[in-house]
Amino acid sequence: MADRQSVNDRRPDTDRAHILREIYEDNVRIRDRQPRGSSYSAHPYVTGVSGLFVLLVTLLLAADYVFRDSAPQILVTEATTFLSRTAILLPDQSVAPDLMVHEGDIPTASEYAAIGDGTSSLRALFDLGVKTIVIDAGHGGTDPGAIGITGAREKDITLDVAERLRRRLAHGYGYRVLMTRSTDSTIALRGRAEFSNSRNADLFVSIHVNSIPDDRVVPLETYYFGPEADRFALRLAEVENQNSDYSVAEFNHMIQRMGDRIKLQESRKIARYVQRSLFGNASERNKDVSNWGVKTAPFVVLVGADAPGILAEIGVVSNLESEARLRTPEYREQIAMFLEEGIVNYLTDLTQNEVSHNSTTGNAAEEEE
Amino acid sequence: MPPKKKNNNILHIGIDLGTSRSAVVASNGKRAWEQSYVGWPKDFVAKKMLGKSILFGEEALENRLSVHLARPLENGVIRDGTIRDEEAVRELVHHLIEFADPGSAQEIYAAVGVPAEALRVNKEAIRDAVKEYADCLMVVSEPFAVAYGVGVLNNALFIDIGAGTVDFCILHGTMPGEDDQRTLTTGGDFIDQQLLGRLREKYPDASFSETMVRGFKEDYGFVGQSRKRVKVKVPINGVTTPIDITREMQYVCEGIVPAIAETAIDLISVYEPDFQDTVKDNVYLAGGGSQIAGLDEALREALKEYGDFNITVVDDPLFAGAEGALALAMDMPEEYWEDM
Repeated sequence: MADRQSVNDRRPDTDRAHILREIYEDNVRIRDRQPRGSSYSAHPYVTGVSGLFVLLVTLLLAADYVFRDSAPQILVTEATTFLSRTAILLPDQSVAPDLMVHEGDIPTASEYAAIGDGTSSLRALFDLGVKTIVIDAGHGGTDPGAIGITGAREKDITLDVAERLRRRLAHGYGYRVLMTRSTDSTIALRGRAEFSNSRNADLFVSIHVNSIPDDRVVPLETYYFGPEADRFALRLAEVENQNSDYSVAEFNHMIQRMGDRIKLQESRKIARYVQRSLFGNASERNKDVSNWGVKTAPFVVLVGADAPGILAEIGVVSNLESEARLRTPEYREQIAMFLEEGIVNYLTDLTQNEVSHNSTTGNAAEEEE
Repeated sequence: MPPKKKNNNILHIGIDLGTSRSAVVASNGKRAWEQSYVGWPKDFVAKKMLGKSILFGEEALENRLSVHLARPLENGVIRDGTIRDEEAVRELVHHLIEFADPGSAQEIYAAVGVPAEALRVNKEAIRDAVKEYADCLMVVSEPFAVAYGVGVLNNALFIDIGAGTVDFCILHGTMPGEDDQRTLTTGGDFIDQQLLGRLREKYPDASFSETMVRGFKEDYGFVGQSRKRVKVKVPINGVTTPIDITREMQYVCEGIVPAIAETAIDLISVYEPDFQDTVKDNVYLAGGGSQIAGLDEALREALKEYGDFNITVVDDPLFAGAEGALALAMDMPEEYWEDM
């Protein structure tokens, strides 16, 4: 290989022979599958202290409004009180998984029958161009969110996963990807929604971690703001009117907006794609996760945002193993990847059977029409 | 033309598996490159319309509405757990090897250069992807393959500015280890991203696509003094309108310079003090990003306070990696190959 000989190398032949041997040895190592180092660099991760069972404010409201329909007055008071604090305790610890707001539990009007089939509206949205994606890391600052058995804090987990997701989406797809918060800061739900609106977001993705009374289950679930929830939302408006500076009039506008078919259809589709990818992939690696599916709930942050949006519950800190997993950068990277896959699959309009190679596991099939 | 080996039944192939483009060079003189896109028709109708079950490169991109499109080394790595991406790498490698047109009785000895990060993270996946189509296989990091091809293996710094990553590799007469390599994520895709963002902000009514913007950069990317204005045509409300993007282009391209300079000096400053000046004399730019006009000068300028740098842009960056891999494949002693 005289023509490739270096000009400035004093010992080319010995160097070359030496290097070739090293390449060979390196490849022998690869071939023999010697353990490789960690693929991901450790991310600074702060751990919390106490072991409170804390739930999302909105989950509380959702659950309460649905299941204590007969006593709305009391609930409003209760919720108001809770809202004034930074963290919300779930008063009803007995809410079982099957009592949650399952999509199927809510009567589906015939006009919504068309949602989710075909790809026309989805492509329509894609043609309109999804340019800006807002990622919302749940909680933050003075609001730690759920706190795990060994002290992992929801706000830290959501921020880290959100950042990883941002990095993934920001690179190579051509989207503008923004974060409602990129530090440990306190931002009101309204602030998050307004951030999304002011940046003309086309897609809003909120990331949360759950904590539930039953420490044996590790549910994964994805919410979107559903149409059937508006009576709850109206009550929520009452509550929020006292506390989070939305007026009823403003809220009425929001109700109108949320009636917007596109937002509804798309939110539901994204939720499905994300949930399928999230559960499909996670269940392959961890047998303990259960699929709580795609649900509707009146999450304030999803109502306020104009863009189609979802809220993903990426795990629980009320289960020891799940919490331990969420503490590892590898797992958080994986979760970010699953979310990315779901979102990108939605955006690139993949057919359902190819969304995830293992999407039919468990309850995912029930979700299908 | 590389000299013939004693065994005529061996075809040596050098492959450069890149985020944006992949290239292949074979000992039979075949050379080809392809954009690193793989597309599978979405459904039966698409398959019928396209007349094939898999598409590559430009063709896949052009038909992106009817195919599931994969760009498998998006961020310089095969994303973990994405079956589709691994499958895409496999198909791409197969496609590239077909370009080399091996005879049916020929044994294929392939050396594959991959982004440094992929080598670190996806060694096994890449080996698995390639071994199906090659009889013997070596995988090396991309900047190293380029260095091998250029023939500078000692006291040199190679900076491979790819689409997904910018890979740095210090050569000191031995196989580079972890400490000799760095990876930045501010590669070509990053520039495209920035450019797209700025253009969309400045021209909210115009429609830009990522592919379009990448084309602008590849045609007109520059840093430093602009030779002439960069004018491109884009649809604004459906009307093709010429716009001037000189400032935006310059701004985003210059955006990558500081990080590259910083990383270069970082690596050099821990090198053997006696030879640091030699390394400064032997800095090479490779990869698609090295084609940004004026980049070598801008880097020299940015590094001025650390001494005089001699920065060379490698010839034919599109094929430099594949050529280097081929040279390596052909130099590799037969007994090593037999083990692979």
